[in-house]
Amino acid sequence: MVQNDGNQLVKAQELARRLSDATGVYFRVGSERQSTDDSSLDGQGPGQLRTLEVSVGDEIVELVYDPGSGEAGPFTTRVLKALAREIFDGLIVSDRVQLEPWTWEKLLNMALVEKWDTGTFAARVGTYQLKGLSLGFPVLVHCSTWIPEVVEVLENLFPQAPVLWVLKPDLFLYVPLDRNEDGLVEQKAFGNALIEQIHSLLADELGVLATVFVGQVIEEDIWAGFLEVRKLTELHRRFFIGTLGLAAWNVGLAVLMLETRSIVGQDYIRGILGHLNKELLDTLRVFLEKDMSVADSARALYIHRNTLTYRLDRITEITGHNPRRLTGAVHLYIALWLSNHSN
Amino acid sequence: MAGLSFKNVVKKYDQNTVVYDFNLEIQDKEFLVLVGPSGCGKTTTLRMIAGLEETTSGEIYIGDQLINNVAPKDRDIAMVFQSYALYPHMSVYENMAFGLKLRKMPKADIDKRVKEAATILDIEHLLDRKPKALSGGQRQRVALGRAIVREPKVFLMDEPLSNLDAKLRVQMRAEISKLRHRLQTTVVYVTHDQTEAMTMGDRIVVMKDGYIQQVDTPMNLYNHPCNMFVAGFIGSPAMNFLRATLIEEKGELWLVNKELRLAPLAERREALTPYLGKEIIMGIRPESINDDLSYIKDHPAWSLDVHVDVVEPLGAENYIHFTINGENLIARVEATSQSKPLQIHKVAFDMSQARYFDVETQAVIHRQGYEASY
Ligand SMILES: Nc1ncnc2c1ncn2[C@@H]1O[C@H](COP(=O)(O)OP(=O)(O)O)[C@@H](O)[C@H]1O
Ligand SMILES: [Mg+2]
Repeated sequence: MVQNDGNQLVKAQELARRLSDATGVYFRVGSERQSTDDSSLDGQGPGQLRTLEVSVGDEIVELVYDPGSGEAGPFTTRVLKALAREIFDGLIVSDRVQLEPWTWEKLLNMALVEKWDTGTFAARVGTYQLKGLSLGFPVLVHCSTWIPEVVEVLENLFPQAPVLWVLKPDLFLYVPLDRNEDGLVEQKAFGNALIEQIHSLLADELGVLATVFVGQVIEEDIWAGFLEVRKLTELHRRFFIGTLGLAAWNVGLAVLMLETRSIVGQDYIRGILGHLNKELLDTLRVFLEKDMSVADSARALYIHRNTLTYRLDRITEITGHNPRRLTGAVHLYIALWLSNHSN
Repeated sequence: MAGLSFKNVVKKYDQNTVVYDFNLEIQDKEFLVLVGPSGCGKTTTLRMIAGLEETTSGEIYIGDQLINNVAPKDRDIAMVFQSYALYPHMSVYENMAFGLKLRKMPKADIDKRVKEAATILDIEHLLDRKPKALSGGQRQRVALGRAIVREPKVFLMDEPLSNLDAKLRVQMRAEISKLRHRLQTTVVYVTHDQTEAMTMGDRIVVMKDGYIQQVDTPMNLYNHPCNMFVAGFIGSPAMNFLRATLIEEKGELWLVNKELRLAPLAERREALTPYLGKEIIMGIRPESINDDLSYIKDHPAWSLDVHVDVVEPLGAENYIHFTINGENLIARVEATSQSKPLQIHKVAFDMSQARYFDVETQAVIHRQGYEASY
């Protein structure tokens, strides 16, 4: 029928286009033969594309879609019915195609393949009527080697996690907050603890070396959360290599430095700290760590405060930046930070 | 149960070597501590034992078995960290059994091991509880139990006490000691804290920049450091260092440098003679400097006038911060000390405890009385 009736073909194409727009899964008109049993399409092997069959009267229209871009679910069926009523008259959906429900993981997969922005994702969440998420942390676990038991361990560690998306050798989780973690301070402590807990459990239980990235607390906008933790992996590689992972609130200056070419950073470090000897560098480091407190720093360094004052004067002379003043301390701190975090 | 040995182990990340030619024999049932400043390669070394990181070259053995190519989960090791996560919806029993289930162990064996571990840890009465219903200390024991049921040949611990508050730290340290004695297992323990190393280790490996500096018992590290790094790293407050030139006057050796004039012990003559006329570094621990009047009177050749900067009373003792030739030193003296800030004060250096180092190599010059540990 489709083959013989140009008007019907145009209608089928319109159906495919509007269905794609509404669902985000790309449908197109499939085989132009009337056969309903042959699932091989356009020379592709069976199983690579899926077929959705709709019958119009005693004729069949085949729509095909790539399951890699998402799965047709009950919502698709509803939209299809509505569109069919509008475009064709009296169209019904065949029961031969098993329609699977949408999940967060499928939506995330689709977003990844199609490089959605966060707005598109939010719109799709509405479209597919996914169940809402409570406040939680987006967490990316990167494993140095992949074994399937990682999923089992993490499922058991976070039985309450509504999203567990496997991206071998990575794994993305959404870990809801306990009710105990209401305050911001508690939230961050919980988030920081996640890094070591996941790392240690996978190391001890499975012998897998994992690096763990924790994003800011989110609700619903899980795609934004994923994009954030993915960015953290880059920051970690550049500035925090050798640590167990990174939480979004601990990136500090790194996020600024990511934009800077490393050669600029090196020049900056050399320009400011280049002429300090080890004793003065250690003194400076402790002084800034102790929040510019002369008393605390002198105690930590086992030196007298007069000695400390003398050394701080030397640092000022040599670098041109006085660590006892905010502006000087900022320059010295940035240079020290860079020299600690760049390889 | 088994010892552990490293043969020429090297670890590189790209071109960057972080562990150099590591050679070490760890005895069966030994508690060995790896200590050194942050970034010296402790965690990397531990991870190579665990199989979380591959060695770039060299061999690691557990007992007689070469483990380089053994999968991490088949290495018979357990790792203990400071932060414990239990599976929240499983009972204590299930938490301890889970790792064995993952290893496909028969149910009856699992049951036997879990019950044994529960006895060792005194948590038999908690086996049916969920983690939520446990105290912090009980949870920690369950986490240890998870490692114990695997009956590992070696326990690996990476800074399990850092970041804990003082109370929990004491509790945890006791737990580890108890565990160690009950299980009679080899332990490799990593810390950057020399006090922790000194109080816990049978032997200690001091590392710096990826190199082993010295492997020794705590007492040997304290009394016979092999170089200035070890000397300065072990002990708190740290050892004082002074530069001086070695001269001979009327048949006696003297160390001199402006305000400084001290006589080395006669027994050191042989070791020091090659340095006559040259500059060397003397190291002296704060506890080997005192200001007891009768001691000063008995040892005039070991006494000096120094400039006191500050006196820090700590109750049982005082720290005197003072300078010689503008260098800062600390003495740890009796609380009865009469020293006053900003005054000249007489102190005596117990030169029998002085150590001497080569200016160039920073290696110790003499090691009289040193008996190597096994
Ligand atoms: N994955 C890695 N890639 C590159 N360098 C690393 C990596 N892991 C650790 N390092 C580097 O190796 C050195 C030793 O690290 P580590 O063993 O963690 O030291 P420690 O535990 O003694 O503090 C450090 O300089 C660290 O930056
Ligand atoms: Mg470490």
